[in-house]
Amino acid sequence: MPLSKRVIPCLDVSGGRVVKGTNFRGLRDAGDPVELASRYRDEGADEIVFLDITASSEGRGTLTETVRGIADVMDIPFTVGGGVRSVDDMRMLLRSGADKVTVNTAAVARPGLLGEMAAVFGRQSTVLAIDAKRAGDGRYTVFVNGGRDDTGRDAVAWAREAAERGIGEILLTSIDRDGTKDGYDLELVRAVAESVNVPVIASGGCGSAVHMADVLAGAADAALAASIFHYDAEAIGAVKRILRERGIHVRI
Amino acid sequence: MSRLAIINYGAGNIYALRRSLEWAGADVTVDPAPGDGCAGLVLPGVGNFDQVMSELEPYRRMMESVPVLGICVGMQAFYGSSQEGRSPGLGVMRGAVVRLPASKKSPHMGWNTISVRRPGRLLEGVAGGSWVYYTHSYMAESDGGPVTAVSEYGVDVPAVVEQGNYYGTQFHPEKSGAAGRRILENFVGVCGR
Repeated sequence: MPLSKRVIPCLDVSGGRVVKGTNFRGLRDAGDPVELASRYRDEGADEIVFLDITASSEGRGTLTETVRGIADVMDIPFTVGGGVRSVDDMRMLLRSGADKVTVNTAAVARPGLLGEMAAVFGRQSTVLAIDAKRAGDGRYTVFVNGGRDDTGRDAVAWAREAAERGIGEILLTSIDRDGTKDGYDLELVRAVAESVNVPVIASGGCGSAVHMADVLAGAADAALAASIFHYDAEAIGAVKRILRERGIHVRI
Repeated sequence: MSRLAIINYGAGNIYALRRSLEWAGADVTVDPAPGDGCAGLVLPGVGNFDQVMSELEPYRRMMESVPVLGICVGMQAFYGSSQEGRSPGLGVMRGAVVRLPASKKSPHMGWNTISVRRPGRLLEGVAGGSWVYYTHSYMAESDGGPVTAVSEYGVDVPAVVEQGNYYGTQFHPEKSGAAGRRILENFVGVCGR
């Protein structure tokens, strides 16, 4: 059997707690990050993504203590992002136990950063996060600073450029769908995933296992979700069984 | 308790590897002085080929006398050369390290299953079909010989190799859940004999 598709719970963390909002706003408390990470690992998560969602806007560094706490219980891969601005920021997170680091705002400001990170730490550790929103003309543009600022940059062109600069993966979030539970933006995911030769994690809008099946049946290599796992007590194992019934190759 | 030494190439995350080896029963030191006594050496799976080869230089003699576990690029160092770099490899296993097939996404990133080709120490108690976690862009050319297991990614990617005192995994056992833990325990067991 070939490489499986990945199911990735995401922990959006602010002030040491897991939170979740809608369209990047209106945050609710969803628990302790280490407890949730352990639960997801036991339930069969393929990987965990941890985003310090307040870091970029408030200029704080990511909470390395929380990272260390999560790394201490993980025997699966673990990605961290939020407020990463430099090779030194990335080094600090990797030393705290992260396997991969995502960068967004700082890479848009200075794309050369991507190549520098990949040269020092390897492509496999360097993940580009793209927050994209559909523009009036039907294109998708890249937003930075936690979804607040439109750069006007075309998301597909940016994904291509980043892949050429040496990143190993793209975490692609639809701002329009984030927290809505309306399903992934399949058009956005297809446009990006078919334009690059690196894995793409689809994010934003997952409200059910069926949504996950829809996006994984297409070009996405992995699907990320937060709310369905945090609040709805939808166990990852149950989601994966539904995916398998629908013909998606997953690790069970 | 087996005292194992990790050779730290400096840039990547060896935190998880160190902790996983400790879970597997080892007493772990990092960056041993060449000539230090230890029961086994571990070459972690972070960094690029040339960097790894230059960092390994002082340890060549140590590697001849104790079990060596190479992970990912650490395993690739066992071969004679790599398309990723210019330095010659250790050359203890026959063959070369090449890019993954152009038809596939690179890196090969995520969980894949292993097919066992022949028994080996690392795979004791690890069933065929076990899931392991990969993240790599280069692979060893499979010529049988040391290969005890493969995973399918367009081609048969050598997953586990063993030859003499050299043991390697292309995947990351420290990130591979239960199967990975068993593999590390097996290596610690080899070192303790």
